[in-house]
Amino acid sequence: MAARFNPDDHLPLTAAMFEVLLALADGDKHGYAIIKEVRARSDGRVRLSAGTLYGLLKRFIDAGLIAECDERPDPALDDERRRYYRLTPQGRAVAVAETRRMEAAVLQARSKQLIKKSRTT
Amino acid sequence: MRFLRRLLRIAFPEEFRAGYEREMLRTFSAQHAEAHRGGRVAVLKLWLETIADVVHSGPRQHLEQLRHDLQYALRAFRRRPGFYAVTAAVLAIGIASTTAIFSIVDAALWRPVPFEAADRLVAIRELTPQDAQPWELSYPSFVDLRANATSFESVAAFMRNGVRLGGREPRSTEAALISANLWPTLRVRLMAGRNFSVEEDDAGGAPVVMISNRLAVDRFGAAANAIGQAVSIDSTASTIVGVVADSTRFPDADVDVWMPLGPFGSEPFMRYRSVHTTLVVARLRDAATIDTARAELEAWMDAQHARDPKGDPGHRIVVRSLASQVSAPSRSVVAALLGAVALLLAVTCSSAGMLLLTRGSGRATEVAIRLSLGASRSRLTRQFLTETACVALIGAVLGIAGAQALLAYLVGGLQDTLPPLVVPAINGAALAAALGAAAVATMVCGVAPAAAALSFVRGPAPAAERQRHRLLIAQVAVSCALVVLAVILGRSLDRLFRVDPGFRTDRMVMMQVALPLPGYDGPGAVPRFFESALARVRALPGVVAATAGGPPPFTSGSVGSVHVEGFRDTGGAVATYRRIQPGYFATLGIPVIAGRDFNTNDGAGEMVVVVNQGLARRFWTSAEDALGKRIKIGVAEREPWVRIIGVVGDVRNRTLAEAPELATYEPHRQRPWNGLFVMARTDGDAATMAPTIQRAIRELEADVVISRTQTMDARAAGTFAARRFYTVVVGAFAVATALLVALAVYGATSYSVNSRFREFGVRAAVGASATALKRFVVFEALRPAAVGLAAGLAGGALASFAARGLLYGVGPFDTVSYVAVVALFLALVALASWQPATRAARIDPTVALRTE
Repeated sequence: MAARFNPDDHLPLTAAMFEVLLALADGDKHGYAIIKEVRARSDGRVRLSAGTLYGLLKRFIDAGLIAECDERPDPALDDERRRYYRLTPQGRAVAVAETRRMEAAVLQARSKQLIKKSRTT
Repeated sequence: MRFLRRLLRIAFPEEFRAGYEREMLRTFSAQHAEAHRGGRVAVLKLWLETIADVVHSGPRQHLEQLRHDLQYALRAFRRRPGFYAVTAAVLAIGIASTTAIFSIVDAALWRPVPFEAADRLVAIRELTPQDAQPWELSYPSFVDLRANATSFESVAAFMRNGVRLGGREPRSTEAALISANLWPTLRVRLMAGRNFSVEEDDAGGAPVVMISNRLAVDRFGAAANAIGQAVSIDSTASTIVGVVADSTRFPDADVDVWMPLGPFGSEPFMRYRSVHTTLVVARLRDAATIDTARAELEAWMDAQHARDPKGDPGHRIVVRSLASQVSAPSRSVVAALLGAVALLLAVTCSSAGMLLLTRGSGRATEVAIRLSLGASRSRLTRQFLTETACVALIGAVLGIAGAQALLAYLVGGLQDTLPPLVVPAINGAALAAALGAAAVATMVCGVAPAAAALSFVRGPAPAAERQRHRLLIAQVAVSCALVVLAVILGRSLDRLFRVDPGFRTDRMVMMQVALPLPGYDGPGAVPRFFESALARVRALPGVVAATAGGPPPFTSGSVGSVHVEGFRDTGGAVATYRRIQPGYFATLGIPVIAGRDFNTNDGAGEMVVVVNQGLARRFWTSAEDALGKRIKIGVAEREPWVRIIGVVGDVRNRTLAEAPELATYEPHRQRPWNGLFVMARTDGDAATMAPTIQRAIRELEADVVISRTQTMDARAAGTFAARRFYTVVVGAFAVATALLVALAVYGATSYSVNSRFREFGVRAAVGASATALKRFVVFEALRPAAVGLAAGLAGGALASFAARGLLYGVGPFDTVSYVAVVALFLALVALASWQPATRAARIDPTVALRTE
C-alpha cells in the first residue's frame, strides 16, 4: 500500500528545483521553454543547462511531482517532436509548500528586523 | 552536436540516455541557435556551460541509479532475509578461510625469510658421506670464508645454545651465539642499542649480550632501559648492548639472549675442522649468483683437501638460498592447505551461485514484467549485480572478521610446522586476496542469476540446466575428496591415540631440574642431590612414585653406535642412551623382563647398563641371554665396556607413530649429567602437584633451575599435535564443503522443482503418486551426485596417497573410509533434496494446470 503523500517530505527544494516547478505552474512546457523562462524570470541569474534540467525532470517524474503530457497546450506554438511536462497536483502541493516555507522565513527575518517591510502589498 | 552526443554517452547512464538523450540534444540545439544570434562569444559560453554541466550532472545520475538499485536490493533482502543470510554466510566462510590461509601461505611460502633483499641471502653447509642432511661448517672454516670468500658482501655465523639466566628467577633460556656481522648481514635493525663490536666478537672480548624485547620488558620495563644494564649469563655478569625486536625470530622464536660467537669459537675444541657446529649465512654480492658462489666455495674446499687430505674427505659444499632452507620442511604442507582453500573457494562461489540461481528462477515473472515495462537487459543485469555485490560485501565484512579468528587458530595449531622466522598476520596482500575472492564471487554469482533469469524469459534453457548439473558434479567431487581425506586422517589419528607407548603416561608430571655448576663439582655431588631431591618428592602426600632421568620420554635424545663384545659387525646398529635414577622403570611402568632395575650402589663399581628388549633380541636369542654380556655405546675407542644387568620393555621414545628404537639406560651415578628430568606419578591431577614438587626441590637448593614443567599426557599429545592439527583443518574444510554442497543440492533441486511446476502437475494428474514424485525428484538429485561422488572418491584416493606420510595404521585406500563416505554423501544428497521433493509431491494438479 502506498504511503500518504506529504509535500513536506520533499522540502526544502534547491533554487533550480523550485524554479523548474514554478516554470510549470502556469502551464505545460517543454525543456527549452523551461530554461528560457527561468533565465528570463531571474534576469539571467539562474541559468539551467540541459544536463541539470533533465536530471531534475527525471527525478520529479520518478517522484510523481510532474508528468509528461499527451496534449499540446498551444497548437500554434506546438512542436510535435518535443516532450511537454505538466505539474501534477502533488508537484503543485510541493511548490506551494516550498513557497510557504520561504514566506515563513521572510516573516521571521522581518520580525528580527533583518529586512524592512515591503512598501507594496 | 556529434561531440555532445559522445559526451552524453560517456557521462550519463544508459537508462537515463534512453529517456532523455534526444530531448537534451534538441534543447541544446535550440539554445545553440539562440546563442548563434548573439555571436561567437555567446556560442562559446554556451558550450562551456553545457560541458561543465554534463560533467557535473552525469555522475549524479549514476549515483541516483545506484541509490535506486540499493533500495531495490534492500527490498529484496527484506522479502527473503533467510535466503540472503545463508548466501552471505556461504561467502563469509569462503572469504574467511581464503584470507586466513592466504596470510599463512603468503608468510610461509612466499616470504619465509622476512629480511630485506632476502633473495640475496644464502645458507652455506657441508654435505658429508655419512649423512643425507647437510651439516654445519666448523668454526675455522667459517673464519676462513669470512676472510677470503669474494662472492659475498658479508659472511656471518650463529650457533644455538642454552644458557642459565641469573637474577630474580633464575632459569634456563635459549640463546644464540652470533658473529658481530650477523644483523648487518641480514639487514636487521635493533630495537635499541648497538651491534657487537669486532673486538667483542673475539677471544677475550668483554662479556656483552643482546636480549629480546620481551626479556627487556620483563626485567627492565622497556627496551631502552635495558641498555647498559648487567645480566647474569651462566654466572657471568654481562652488559646488555642491544635489544632485538620480538618479530626478529632469528634463529628461532624462543631465543632470548644473543652473545658474541668469537669468544666461544676460541675455545680449544672449536678449533677442530671436524667439529661441525657453526651455521653460516651470507649475503651475495650484486654481481654474484648462487652458482658462482658455489663454484668459488668448491674450489676453496678442494684447496683445503689438498692441504689436509685426512680432514673430512668426501665433504662437499652446499650453497642454498636461505628461503629454501627455512621453508623446505613445510612447503608441501602449506601448498596442500592452499590447494584445499582454493577448492573451498571454488565450492563457495559455486554454492552461492547455485543459491542465487534458485532465487533467480523465482524471479522470472518479475524479470518478465520489468522487461515488458521497458527495462533494458543491461539495466536488469546491473540491478542483479548490485544485489549480489551487497550480499558479497556483507559476506566480505563478516569474512574478514572471521579470518582474524581463523588465522589465530591456525597459527596456534601450526606453530611447530611453520618456518621459524615467520609471524603470519592479516596483511594487505591477504586483504586483497579476500577482496579478490569477494569480487570473483560477486561476478560469478551476480551474472549467473541475471543470465539465468533472462534466459528463463526467453524459454527453457537446457544448456543452463546442463551447466548447473556440471557445477553440482564438480562440487560434490571436490567436497567428497576432502571428506575422504578427512575421514582417513581421522581414522589414522584415532589409531594413534590407541597406540601403547610402552609406559604409562597418566597422572605423571615432569620438569627439567638443572644444577648450577659451582658447588656441585665434587664426585657424586650431583647424583647425591638428585637422590635427596627424589626422597623429598616421594615423601610428599599425593606423590605415588618419583624418579629422574634424561633425556625425557618423547625426545629423540642421544644416539650412539652399538658395539657388542664378541660381535665384529653389529650391522650399523644405533641405540639411544639415557641416564636414570633408580626407580625409573617402576615409576614409568616399564616392565623389567629379565635381570633387575638399578639400585643406589650401581655405578660405583663395575660399569653397568640396562637395555631394552629390542636390543637384546637383536643380538641374542632371549632377554636372559643378554644378561651379563658387555656392550659399548658411542665411539668404540673412547667408550668403556658396560655390563648388561637388566632387560626392560620397549618404549616408543620419539613419537607414538614411530617404532621403538634400540635403547640403553645407564645409572646416573655412573656418569652424571648435571641436569635431569624429575618425573612423579601422583594419585590425583598431576598438573596441580607441580608447584608443590618444585617447592620441595627448591628447599633443597635455592639456586636450582627448574623449567619445562609439563604433564606426560600433554607431552604425548604434543608428539601428534601436528597430525591432529591437519586432521582438524581438513575436517573443518570437509564439514564446510559438505554443508555448502548440501545447500547447493537443495538450491538446485528447488530450482528444478520451481521451474517444472507444470510438469509435476501433469505427472500428478496422470496418476503419479506423491511417493513416486518424491522418489523421482530425489533420484534426479542423486544422479549427478553419484557422478561427482565417483570423481571425488578418485580425488580423495589421490589426496590420501599424497598425504600418506601423515597416516598411521590406515592405508590411503582404506575401504571402510570410502564406504562410509559414499553412504554419507548419498544420505546428505537425499536429505538435501527431501524438502523440494516434498514440495513437488504436494503440487495440486488443478492449480498447476491452470498456471501458465
